[in-house]
Amino acid sequence: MRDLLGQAWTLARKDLILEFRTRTALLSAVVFTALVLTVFNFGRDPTAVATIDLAPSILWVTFTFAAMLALNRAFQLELENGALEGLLVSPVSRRSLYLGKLLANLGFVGVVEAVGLPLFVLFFNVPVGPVLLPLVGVIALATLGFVSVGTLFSAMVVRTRFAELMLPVLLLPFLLLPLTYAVQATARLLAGRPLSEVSGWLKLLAAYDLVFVAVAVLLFPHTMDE
Amino acid sequence: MSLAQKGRRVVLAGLLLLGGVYVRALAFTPVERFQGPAQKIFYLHVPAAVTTELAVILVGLAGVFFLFLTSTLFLFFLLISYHVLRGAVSDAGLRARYAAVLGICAVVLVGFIHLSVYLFPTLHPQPIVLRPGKPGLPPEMLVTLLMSFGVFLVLYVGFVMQRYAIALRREAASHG
Repeated sequence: MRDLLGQAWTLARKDLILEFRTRTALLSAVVFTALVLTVFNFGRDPTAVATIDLAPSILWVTFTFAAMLALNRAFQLELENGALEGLLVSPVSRRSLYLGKLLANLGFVGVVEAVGLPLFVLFFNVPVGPVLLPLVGVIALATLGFVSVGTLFSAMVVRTRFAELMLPVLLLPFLLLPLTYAVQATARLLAGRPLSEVSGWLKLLAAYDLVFVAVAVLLFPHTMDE
Repeated sequence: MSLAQKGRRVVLAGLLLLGGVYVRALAFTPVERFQGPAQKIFYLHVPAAVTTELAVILVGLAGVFFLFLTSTLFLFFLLISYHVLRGAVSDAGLRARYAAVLGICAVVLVGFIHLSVYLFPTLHPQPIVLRPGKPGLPPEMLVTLLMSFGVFLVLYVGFVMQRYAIALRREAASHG
């Protein structure tokens, strides 16, 4: 177990260091998030529909697209110079490889969301202050759900044709459900409803995370065998 | 008679029976009081969804779940992505493995959809067959539903027979 997590951390650190040194993907993802929020900001009529009614959906559509960008590059990165083969022959278990990629993707998406959330508040002027902690909880749980399935699928699509297009097609049906939970929870939080109304959605999100992390850890080795 | 011909006959029989079930569902089964005529989709939608789920379970070989009332829209998207994935992988062994991985994930996902529908009633009409206690369906409706299940199973078997025949021929062609 310690080995598993130790190896996973080594792999995740490798990816994150690579990312923070080059910053190309991270910067593009952050700019993309800002642009999507801007598009939503100008693509609505604030006099016709109250912002608070649209805001939760806008937040989650933006985060879904941002996560998709991050996940696409997770294994694409390893295709250069046959790095994936190198990883597979190294004395690292397949499960550590999955957990490492999962951690790195969580870090990447986490940074994008940390930049996206203040921008969202800025553009849509929603009362986030009093519910910041529960909102961060919802974002963390939903992101884990997105990334756990997404990391598994991104390992599969790198060896298919049209990988960049294939990932959204495979992944979006799986993201619809955590997206629904997250939007419902966010809408209630932003409307100032009591926390007890949100806890059901949080439990569902947590259950989704547990199940899909377990399923992905079990299935991932089968996507990597030669 | 070849497998492909047999498969075609089973599908034809299934389609005829489907017509019969629909005559029964539309003309000889009472209209549901709250949902009105729209509820008739239930006799088509539920058996189609359950049969698809059965097929997905067979694909994933993870046959533990058996769920009634799921969202066909979800299943529809899952099926499309499944076919897109199959089309995009050229190596046959890899294709089978990826398809199985996606199939297992899909089975788990459908379980979650069922749970969500049960817990949060605004998303979808409530489960009425698979729920604690006995099915809350009048006998006429239940009979129509069960007949529709049978028909969809026949259709499914017919489709699989034809698909299998195609696979056999392709195999023979590539080795011959």
